[in-house]
Amino acid sequence: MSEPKNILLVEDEQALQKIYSNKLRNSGFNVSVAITGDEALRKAQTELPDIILLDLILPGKDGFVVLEELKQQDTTKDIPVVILSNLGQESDIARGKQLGAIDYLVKADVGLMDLVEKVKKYLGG
Amino acid sequence: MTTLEIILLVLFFFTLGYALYIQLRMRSVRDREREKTEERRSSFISIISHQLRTPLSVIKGYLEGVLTGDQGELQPGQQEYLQEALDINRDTIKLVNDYLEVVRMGAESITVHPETLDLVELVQGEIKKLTPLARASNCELIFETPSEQIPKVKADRIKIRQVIENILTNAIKYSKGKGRAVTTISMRDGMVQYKTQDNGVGVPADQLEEVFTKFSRGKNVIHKDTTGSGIGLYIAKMIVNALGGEIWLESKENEGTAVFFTLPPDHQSHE
Repeated sequence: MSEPKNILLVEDEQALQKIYSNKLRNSGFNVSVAITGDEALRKAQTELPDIILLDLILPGKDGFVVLEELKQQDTTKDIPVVILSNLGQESDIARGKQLGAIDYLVKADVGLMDLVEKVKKYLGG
Repeated sequence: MTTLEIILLVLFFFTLGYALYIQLRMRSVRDREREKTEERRSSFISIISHQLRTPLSVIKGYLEGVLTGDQGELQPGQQEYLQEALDINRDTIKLVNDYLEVVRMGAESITVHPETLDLVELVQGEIKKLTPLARASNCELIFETPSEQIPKVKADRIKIRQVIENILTNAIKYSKGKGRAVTTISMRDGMVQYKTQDNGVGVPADQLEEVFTKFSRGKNVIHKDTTGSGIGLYIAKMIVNALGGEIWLESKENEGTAVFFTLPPDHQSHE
């Protein structure tokens, strides 16, 4: 049996951390949580997760800055990043994609099971 | 040329140059003002998106988590109550999204990104997506396969989906008793024409003109259903017009409504 995949969930809203991490853990993933931009960058470097779910409005560095820095580091540049935010203007989506996010999901519009399916798809299973 | 003529000529060019300079300055000030207004609008949308959608996402997440078994098995009654709460939460998210869309389109215009699309395939996909919602409301969504070849259209995939979703959810929402909404696609005067005919409550004759205006809701439904924003068809009209089509409806109160829209075919596509 293959090892469970590791997800870094970057989310500062406590309730959403709980909701997403519960569902993802129940679906067989290991989940690590970061609540600030700096913590996200630190954990991405040390834990080298298989995928990062990244909120945009964060204390300190925002999600766009985090994404930009992740893509500049050799160790983290290939980790797939999915933006999971409640911002959803075309300009936000375009900026996220241009900075290298593989997908952009609006939290209010995406169902929990849809999120799990997307994560599985990007992790190749 | 006399000295006076030279002076007059210099004065003429000086005045002309100055007028041009003032005009350019004015244009640049107006452009900056427009940019500032756009920036303010964009940051207002960001704040509202975050502040309103976050609590709704939390409620949605908790409900979906419980409904999909994160906290153990549910009794059928509990399942039903929570499902109803989730449906209301989704309606509220849809309302917030609609209002944000209106703010986004504040300049009474809308940006579209047309691409070549198979409208038949797109409509079938939307009907499939909305079928569970329709079933829950005792409404049947039917798509009649076109009898003729329908060319592809030039349309914005996300926005035209929004139009179809608005039309179909209206048909579901305003169906009475056992609802039925039949969707067809055909060719009409060189345009691809979409039509959804429902057997719902209909629109009063004196309100037919108003349905595509902002915040318009039928007086026969305003007290029956509280989840309508009154902007779904307004948004639909903005989108269809921006794509070079027309949208209109025919309706009889207590008999039903037919909503039509047209889109230009994509002549470049030979598939």
